This record gives sequence, C-alpha cells and structure tokens, in this order.
Amino acid sequence: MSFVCAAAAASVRISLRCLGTKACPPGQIEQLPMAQLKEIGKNKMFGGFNRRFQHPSSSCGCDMNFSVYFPPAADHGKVPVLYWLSGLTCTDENFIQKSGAQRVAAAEGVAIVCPDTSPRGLGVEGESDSWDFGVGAGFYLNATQEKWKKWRMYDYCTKELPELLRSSFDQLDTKNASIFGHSMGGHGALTIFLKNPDKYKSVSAFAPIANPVNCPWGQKAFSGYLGDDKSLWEEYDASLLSRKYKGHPTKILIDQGDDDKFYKEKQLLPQNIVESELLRVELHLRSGYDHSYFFIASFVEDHIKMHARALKS
Amino acid sequence: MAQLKEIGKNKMFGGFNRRFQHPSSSCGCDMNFSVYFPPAADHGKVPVLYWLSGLTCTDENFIQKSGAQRVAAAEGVAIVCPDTSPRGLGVEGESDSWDFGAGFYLNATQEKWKKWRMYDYCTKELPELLRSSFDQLDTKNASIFGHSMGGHGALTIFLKNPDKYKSVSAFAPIANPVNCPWGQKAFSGYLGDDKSLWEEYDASLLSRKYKGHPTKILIDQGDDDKFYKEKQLLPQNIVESELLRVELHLRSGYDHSYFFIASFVEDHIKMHARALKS
Repeated sequence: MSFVCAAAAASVRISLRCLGTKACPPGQIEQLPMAQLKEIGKNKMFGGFNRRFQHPSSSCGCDMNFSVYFPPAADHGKVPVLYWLSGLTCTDENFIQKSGAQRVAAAEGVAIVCPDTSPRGLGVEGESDSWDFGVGAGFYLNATQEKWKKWRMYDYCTKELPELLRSSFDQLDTKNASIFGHSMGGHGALTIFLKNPDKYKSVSAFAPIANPVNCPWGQKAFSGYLGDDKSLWEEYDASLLSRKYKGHPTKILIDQGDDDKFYKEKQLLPQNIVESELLRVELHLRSGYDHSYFFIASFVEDHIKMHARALKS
Repeated sequence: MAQLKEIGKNKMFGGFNRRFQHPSSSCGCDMNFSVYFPPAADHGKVPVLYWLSGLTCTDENFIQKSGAQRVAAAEGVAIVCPDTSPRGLGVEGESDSWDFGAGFYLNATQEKWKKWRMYDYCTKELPELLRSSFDQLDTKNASIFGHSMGGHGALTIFLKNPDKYKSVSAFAPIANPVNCPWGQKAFSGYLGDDKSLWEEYDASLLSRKYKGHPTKILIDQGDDDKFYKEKQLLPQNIVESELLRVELHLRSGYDHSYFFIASFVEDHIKMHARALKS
C-alpha cells in the first residue's frame, strides 16, 4: 500500500513509511485524505476514534460534514463500513454523541459512517421554515424541483460519499458495506438498500418512515422536492419498492416503539412493507419506547451485531 | 411531594429516564434533576448512584451521552443527576464566564453568590427530596461519582461525608482546586479570601485528614486531555493513606469529553454496584 505522508505536499504519494516530522511522528502512518477533505474533529472512544470531516460536495454544491467512527481494528487492517442515516432535524453528530454504538462497533471491528441529513448554508428561501422539510430534512432523495435542486442526498449517500471514503481511507473496506438508520434515515436506509442491494450486505431501521406516499411527512417532502410526478414518488417509498425487490435474500430488522408519538400518528407504517420469498421483515414492537435516541441506544447493539455477522460472512 | 413536577420521561434499557423540576430551598429557584430508574426499581428498592457533572453541563448531559443506563439497568442501580448550579436568578455576571457561575458543589459565602449552595443541595436537600418522593430509591445506600468539576464535587462531598456514601470515583476531576486557575477563580468568587474555607472544598487537602471507612478512589484520566495538560486537574495530588487509596488510570489518547466518559463508565458503575450491594 502506498501512503501519503501528512507532512508532504498533498498530491504527492510516497510508498515509504514516513520518517517523521512534527505533524507526523516517526513510524506513524497517516494516510492523507484527498486534498479537500478537512478533519474538523477527533476524539478517542472505546479504543477507536470518532473523526469528523468536512468537504466540498459536488452532489449538494456546498460544504458537507460527515462523521466516522474508526474501531481499533482499523489501526491494523481494513474494516467493513456500516452507514447510519439520521432523521429529521439531526446532523452527522447526533448518532455519534447519543447512540452508544461505538462500544459495539469497536467490539465487532466495524466502522460507522454518518452523513449529514441535508445540504446546509445554501440559503434557499424557506429552507429553515419547517423542521420537517428543507434543512435537516433531505429525505435521502434527488430533488427534481428547480428550487431544491441541490437537495441530492441520494447521490451523496450512494455515490459521492462512498467514493470519497474509498479514495481517502485505505482502512475502510467500502465494498463491504451495510446500512441502517432512524425515522427519515430509516426511510433512507430502506429505500437505498432496496434500490441497490448489490451495494449493501444488510439493512435495518429504527422507527422508519416506511411508506412516505401515505403519510403527511412523506407527502409534504415529496411534493416539495419531487413535484407531482407520483411515479417518481414511488421510487423513494420503501413499501412500494419492497413489492418489486429482486435482490439477494434479505431480512429487514426493524425496531419500533409502541409509545412513539409518530407511530401513533401513522407517520411511520412499518407494517406496510411487503414481504416475499426474497424479502422478510423482522419487526419488533417495543412496549413503552418512544421515538428518541434513548430508544435507539436501547436496541442498537442488536442491529450492529446483525450487520457485523452479514459483513463478515 | 406536591411541588415535584415531572418534566420528561423516556424508556431506556427497560427502565426510565425521568426528569423533574422543583423549587429549591437551598438555591432559591427552580431546580431540575434527572433520574435513571433501572427495571429493578419496578419491583423493589434500588441503591442510588449520584453523578455530578462538570462545567457548562446541566442535569441532562450524562443522561444523553454517557451510555451509563445500559450498565445501571444490568446492575439494578439508579443514577441521579443534579444540575450544576442554580439557574435563572439573574445575578449580575452569572453567565459571563463558562467556568464561573458554575456551582462547584460548594456553599458560597460571598453575599452576591449566596444562592449558590450546591453543597447543601446535593448533600441534604436532594437526597431528602428523593427519599420522601420515591419509595423505590434506597437513599441510605448511595455512592457518588462525577466528571471534572463534578469529579471535584464527588471527591469533596465523599471525603467530608464518608458515612453517607459507600464508594466514590471520578473522571478527570479537579482534584486540587486551590492550586489551579479554575479553582482559584471559583473559590475567590464564591468564598472570598478565607483560605481556610477554600481548604474545606479541596479534595487533595481533605484527603490528608480523611478518617472515614477504608476506601479506594477510582479515577480515570485521559492523557490527551487539554485541561490535564494545563494542570487544571492534578489528580496526583490526592494524598493516600492507610484508609484512602487512589487507583488512577491514565488513559492514552483520551481527552476531556463525554466520549472518554462513555468509554470507561462501565468500570465505574460496576465498582459502585459491588460496593452498594455488599
């Protein structure tokens, strides 16, 4: 493998172990990511590292942040990648700060990648008017409406970010990936998986918006981002996509709290996903749990272990 | 109690994070506190582990970021998190500094800050409120731990009241405030110039005269912690004796954050659970 010495010019690749500078102590191999990837945070946790990055995104036309938990195993080999997609109002940081996932990710030797939930700072008129549309509410789709044309979180999550990870971090085995998420991010994980089963080994979700065309959240988002073309709406609806799933045999693990306000308001509808020979749903209705990160933290271990089994098989 | 108001409730690991608000006599204002009730609290009394947070924190940070509830649920221990100072009193300058206005778990003597009585709040008022409000909390069976300023709080409160707590531990505590900028700023503001009073709130000085039950203080400290490197913390200044041992773990590469706390909190809770069940 060749590495770029952090102290060397950004575009120069050398294949020797760095002899050491102040920025890069002797013997410490530090691959320099692509010139425009900036590290904006780093904290040790459970023997590995939470690292936060910023880069100019071509999909979204603005700077985007994302966070990665590198488990200890990443220090001496390639690790599989588990993408986490967050829900409405979240950033790339919520899961890193509140889920407790790193303890399990460290034990299982899996990296966790958390993109943000929308472009930020573009100043589109009305982008912050609602907590469930616009900023913090990208719905993991490629908008077709002119006003929201920078809202291309689908491309960002399925193409741009994986490629950026692949070219920046030798220790991430991006070809060996799974995906999960919460709420709007559960919708994102399910739809992305169902449309790209070749790219992900497994999928799971917490309280996903499983049938957006049939709930207020989805109808608001889709009419705003996608306009009136209902055939396009279907391309981003997990329940509708499940009917035509033709990928590898998969069991979707879903945890759903029964005291979840949005579940009770019929915004989520996990029961509408259609099972088939190729697609099973293991839906756990959890008594007394709500929509919060306390709920996610309570069950995240099961999900990560399931993904780790799939990623290592 | 009639004046205890529940302002939040979320199920977690089979138990409940619950948040409360009440008018405090110690602080002369409404105070919030959070409690994690483990599943075992549904069918019996559980011991209480107090967590004291650091500068800029509220009663919520530990509940949201530590991951402690997983272990507390397994061990059958309740976790109680008070806030870090009175709020909303509108004392001039109370929000000027991120490191002052913070309560430091003492009873201020200076007139301007006379409502800053976190020592009484944590050692008297809150335990009594818990005792009279929650049958499922065995408040006589308690331990205490904390982070940074809260580590200072846990250590000093324990050293002065060993009869009230079975065990004590800390993450990156301010262990010798009279000898660091943070402590000197807080103590001169809250306690004035009486240095003998300062000593009453300094864990390293208190450790020299400890006469309570034989105790081992567990401390985790990151060696990449900015404040440790700036000599604000000084855990090595705690004085050991026959009655008081210190188990100090210097953790390579860890900083002052909740990511550090989360990484080692399991060890602490298990240690406290052993002490509380013995």
